[in-house]
Amino acid sequence: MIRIILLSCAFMLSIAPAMANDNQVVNLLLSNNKLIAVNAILLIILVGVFVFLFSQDKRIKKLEDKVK
Amino acid sequence: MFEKILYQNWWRWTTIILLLFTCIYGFWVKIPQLPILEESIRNLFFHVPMWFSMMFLMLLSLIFSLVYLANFQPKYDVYAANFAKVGFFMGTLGILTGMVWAKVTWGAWWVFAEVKLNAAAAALLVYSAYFILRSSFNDPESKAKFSAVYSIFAFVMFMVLINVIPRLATSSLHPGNGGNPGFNSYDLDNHLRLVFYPAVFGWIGLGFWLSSQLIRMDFVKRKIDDID
Amino acid sequence: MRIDNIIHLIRKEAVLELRNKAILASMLIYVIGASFIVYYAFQGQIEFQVWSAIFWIIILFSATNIIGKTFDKEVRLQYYYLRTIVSPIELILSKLLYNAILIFAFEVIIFLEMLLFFGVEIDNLPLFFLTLFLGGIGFSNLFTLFSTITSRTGNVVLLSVLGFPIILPLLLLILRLTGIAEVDVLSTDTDVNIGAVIVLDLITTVLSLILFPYLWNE
Repeated sequence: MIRIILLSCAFMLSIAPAMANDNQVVNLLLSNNKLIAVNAILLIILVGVFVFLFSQDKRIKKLEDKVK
Repeated sequence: MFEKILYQNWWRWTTIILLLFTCIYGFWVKIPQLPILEESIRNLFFHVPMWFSMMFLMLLSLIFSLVYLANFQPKYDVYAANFAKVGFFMGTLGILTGMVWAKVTWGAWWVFAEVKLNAAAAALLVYSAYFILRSSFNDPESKAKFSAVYSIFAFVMFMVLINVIPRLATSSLHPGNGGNPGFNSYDLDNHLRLVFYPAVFGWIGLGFWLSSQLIRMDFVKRKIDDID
Repeated sequence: MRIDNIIHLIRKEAVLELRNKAILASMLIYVIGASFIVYYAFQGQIEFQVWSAIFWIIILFSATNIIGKTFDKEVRLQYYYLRTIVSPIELILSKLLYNAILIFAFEVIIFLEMLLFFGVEIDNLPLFFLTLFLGGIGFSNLFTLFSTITSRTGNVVLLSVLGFPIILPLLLLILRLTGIAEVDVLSTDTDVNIGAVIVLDLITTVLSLILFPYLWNE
């Protein structure tokens, strides 16, 4: 499950530069890798949130089974 | 029928894909060149969907309050309360992202001249009163009934605060309010839309996900306490 | 729903109020005291904008106090008796009307005092009194229904907690109308604002009428 998330992440990131334009600020941030760093940190947080949510789901499922 | 959706997985995966899409392409997509806004327009993918998500969850909360008043089944009260909780959380995130945006474009964290900002803060106050009301009852049945009635008022006033008052105001800094043109009219071009609409559904999905967990936890708690 | 039932209920409210003059008198002194404190705090000098803000805040606070005890007046047994003879719609309508009248009366009293103390000049008096009237109805609608909710909890502060954020849209519109009434300029906003207040009053009335039966059937 985490593998699927990470894979789709990598896939999207790989085509992301194609979306970039001739925008000066984007180019500047790209040239010193700041944009990539920011985006990577954001993605790590996001994936962390998803993993947390799934683990919560699992724990709730276990509780529900126990209560039944 | 609704209960089944809580246990299905398709919307979880959709949410994940949409949010990944938003958070990656939101930073790369081609944006219109606008003065003052400049790169901060990318906050459109985070700030605005937070409010949409809040409105969606509050609407669900309202619907379940109405259903509760129609047939007095305690589970609908659980739905209404938990959707409102997560909606409140989303609204708080909306205020926070809005404050960051305000600092960049208007130069201050909080602006009084901005009607919509203050109206949104008041809307959050309305819902915090809802939670205080819920906590001040001991008997679960009257708690459910009275808070359902209040939440109907709360939703009506929420809509008035967010959608009516800012439009009546003579001055506002938000697009689409106080005589300003809306985003649609000049700068929400197709590139922005491509990310904006997935973002809206993604954040709505995240809100729904959070509330589904709260709701299921509440059901477990009620089973343990032998209420149902 | 019968009109004479409502009139009887309103008369009953008034008789109860007059029989226990202490509450009425204390509200009167409360209002006078509040405006007198404002008068002293501002040293008798005040701009109109501040005046109208303080004027409406005093009304807001006295309205919470006046209406907060709407449902305390009914003793428990009497409450059950009322349930057998009138429908909930009649009861809530009578309460709304009675409270609106009461609040309007207090508004006029507060206005006269604030006029006496600060000597403000209002150009468009009819518009001002219309604002007072519509505002009184709005306050009475919201606080009456909420007082039925809060009277069950025993939490005294709860009425303000529930009411203040919800009253805010109404208060904003009313403040704008008061501002328009002071300098009698031909403003295109007037109709829109009056319309918005009337719509808000109607919404709250309809919601009260629909929702009160649910609260009453305990």
